[in-house]
Parts: sequence; structure tokens; C-alpha cells
Amino acid sequence: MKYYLLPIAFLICLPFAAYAQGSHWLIPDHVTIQFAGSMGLVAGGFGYANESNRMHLDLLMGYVPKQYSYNQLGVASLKYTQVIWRSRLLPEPWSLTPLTGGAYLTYTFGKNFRWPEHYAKGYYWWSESLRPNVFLGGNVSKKFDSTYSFSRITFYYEVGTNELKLTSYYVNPDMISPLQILHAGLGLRFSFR
Amino acid sequence: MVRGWWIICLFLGGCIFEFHPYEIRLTAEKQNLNAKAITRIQATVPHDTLRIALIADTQRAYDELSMIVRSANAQTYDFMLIAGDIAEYGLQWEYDQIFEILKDLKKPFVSVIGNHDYQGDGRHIFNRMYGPTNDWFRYGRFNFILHDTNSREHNFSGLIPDLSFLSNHLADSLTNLVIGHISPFSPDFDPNIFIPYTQLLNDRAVLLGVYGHDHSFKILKDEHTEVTYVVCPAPDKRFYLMLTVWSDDFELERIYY
Repeated sequence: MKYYLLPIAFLICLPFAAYAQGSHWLIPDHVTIQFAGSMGLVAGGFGYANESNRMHLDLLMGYVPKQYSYNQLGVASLKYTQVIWRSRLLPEPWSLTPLTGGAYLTYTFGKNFRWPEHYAKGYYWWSESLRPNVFLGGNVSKKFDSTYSFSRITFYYEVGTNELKLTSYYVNPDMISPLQILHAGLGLRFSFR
Repeated sequence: MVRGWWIICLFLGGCIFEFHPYEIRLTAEKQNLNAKAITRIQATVPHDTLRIALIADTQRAYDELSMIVRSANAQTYDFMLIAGDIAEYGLQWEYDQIFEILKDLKKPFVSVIGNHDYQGDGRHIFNRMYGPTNDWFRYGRFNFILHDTNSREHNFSGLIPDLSFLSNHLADSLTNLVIGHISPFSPDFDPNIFIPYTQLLNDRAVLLGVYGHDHSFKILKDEHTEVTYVVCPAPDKRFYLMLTVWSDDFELERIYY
């Protein structure tokens, strides 16, 4: 556990430090909690949005308890989400975003997950600790008036894959369906503004 | 609109809520596969001659592996031995894909661990799914030793392969066959153990060593010893080996598919 305490502490402290310092640009625009999505049983963190609320960058810390892995795992993720299509179907205060897309990079802490070092350089071309993922998703959100702490709560889902499953699909297109390489995640985003 | 939701539900239902690429979430069907296979093997009456299908390095060759399964199901043989590198990246998802193909085999299959199976937490996935990395079983007049020979994954510690395990489980009254992933002639085998390993196998009258890793079919012999070392071809070579073994000799046949 101890080897990933430091980055967790850093991530937890950063928003508070931002408040304390009065560095407004560092104050997060939202906090996020996510289930699954290959970044932990649960992952939580904070993130930033652009003015139009169409681009989001999240820093998440995920956790996999021991019953779902060999040892409990800590996973840090940097995730970028882009709104591709925002619909006006739902009446205010609701909002529907039928299509989002993005990418995230996960880093798994621990001595079992490292850059390959045993074999000659290039023998294993992938990293055990760093895993790039791409995804498509969508969300529904509800706007709240200023008497609440959160101005908006968004429920999102996303479906994606990582580079290793993609290469496995690429060499076996007749054996596995593209649906088989996907993994899904669900999450809630609490926006402050 | 109703139809739209149905498609969305199907789409989501088809996906897995994966927690981690190296998660270990195995149904009972996918646990202790070696032990279950050995129980099935030992439940049948052994003949004096055994026929054993040998494959290795299934990795990402899902299509070729399914051809091997179809071909093997048309053969008369006792069981299949898989000489390691079941997965390419050691992901549970990959172990699952391979299992989905192998479970169509009519005969039992027993696997040893390869260096690719070690990746990430893959080694522990192997342990839960197949069993211990060093194991053995007896069938009739034969003694099969399954052992981890992935020395480089242990930085050539001198402990892999485990010579004391071998020494303890080689049976002097039976015909011994050892199955590992990396052959002693590979540069990925611990060079400090090469001599004691090949000598031990020779001294204890091992008939045959079966390996994978090199991806090409080889029959190797150390000039000072009597043991024969067989390296299995990878599935892309479009043939696998059928071993016929008696108490003191053996024959290898290429089965093309």
C-alpha cells in the first residue's frame, strides 16, 4: 500500500492547496467518482473543464481491492474527455450528451508493474504499468441553482479498450468480435461551476 | 425509441465492467485447471503406450489455436500438454480468450507457465487459473514434471528452475518426462544452472524434456547426456506434435492443420 500513498496524498492535497493559495486557476471545476473502466473498482479525483464545458481533464486515483486481484492495486489515471455531440432533446435543467470521446492513460503502482527490464530492449514492446485507453461514451446531467454546493451533476458512461486488446483484435479479426475487447465504466461528475 | 434503448442495453451488456487489465476475477470453471485435468487423466486406465499432443506459445494465435483444437479432436490421444506462453501480455482477458478456445478440446489439457504469462500480475493469474508453477503427476508408468524454467524473469537468480523440486519429484522407477517453457539451450535459461540441470535430468534417466519459447520445432541433445529436449513449434508453423511414448522410447509425429 505504502508505495502509492505519496501520489494519493499529493492528489488529495492539491485542490486544498489551490484554495489556500488563492490560485483560482488551480481550483478544480469538478470532482469525479467512477466505477470500473479498467482504472480500479472505484476511482475518484478532480478535474478541470473549459469555458464551454465541452473539454474535461481529470486526475483520478483508482483502487482495486485484493479480492479482485493478486494484491490490492493503486492506479493513477489522467483522462481527457471531449463532448462530440450535445443534444437539446431534454428540457432544462436536464442536459443530454449522446456522444463523448476521449482517452486516458493509467499508471499502476507496485513492483509487479514496471517497464520491461529483464529482456533485451524491445523484447516486450509494452509497459506493464502504463496502459493507454481510448473510449466513447455519453452522459446525462442536471443543473442545480446556486443554493446547492454543486451547480451540475453529470452521470456518464463510457466504453473503451486499451492498446493490448486492440492489437489482439487486430491479429484475430475473425476470432473475436470488436465488442469483446471493450470494457465499460460508469461515473458521476459533480461540477462546482 | 424502444428499439434504440434495446440496442444500448445490448451494447452495455456485451461489455465487461473491467476493474483492471490484470484483475483476477475467475469463475469456478476457470480455476485449478491443471488439477482438474490431471484428475480426468488419472480417472482413465493408462495404456503402456501414451499419445500426447504437444503445443506451446498460443499467445495471440487464437485462430490457429482453434484449428489445433479442431484437429486434435479428430485424433486419438490421451491428453494435451501446453509448454507455456498461453497469453501474450499476461492479461486475464487473454487467459479468458485462450480458455474459451481450449475448453472445446475433448481431451484434458495441462499447462506450464511461460515468460509472457508472467507479465504484470499474469503469473498470479496463472497460479489461480492453472495451478502451481511447479507441479507433477503420475499416470501409469509415467511421471510428468511441470516446472517453471523462466530464469530470466527471475534475473537468473539461480533458483529457477528449482533443482531441488525436480530432484524430489523425479521418480526412479517410472519413465520421467519434464515440461517447461524455456529449454536449457535458450539464452533465457539460467546459464549457471545449465550444467547441473542437464546433469540432473541425465542422472535421473529423464526420457524427454518438452519446451516452447523458440517458436520453431527443434530436437536438441546435449552431447554428454542421453536426454532428448524437444522444442514445440508455435501455432503459426501450422503443425503441432503428437508424442507417442513407451517406457524407454518415444516417437514424434507432425500433425499439420
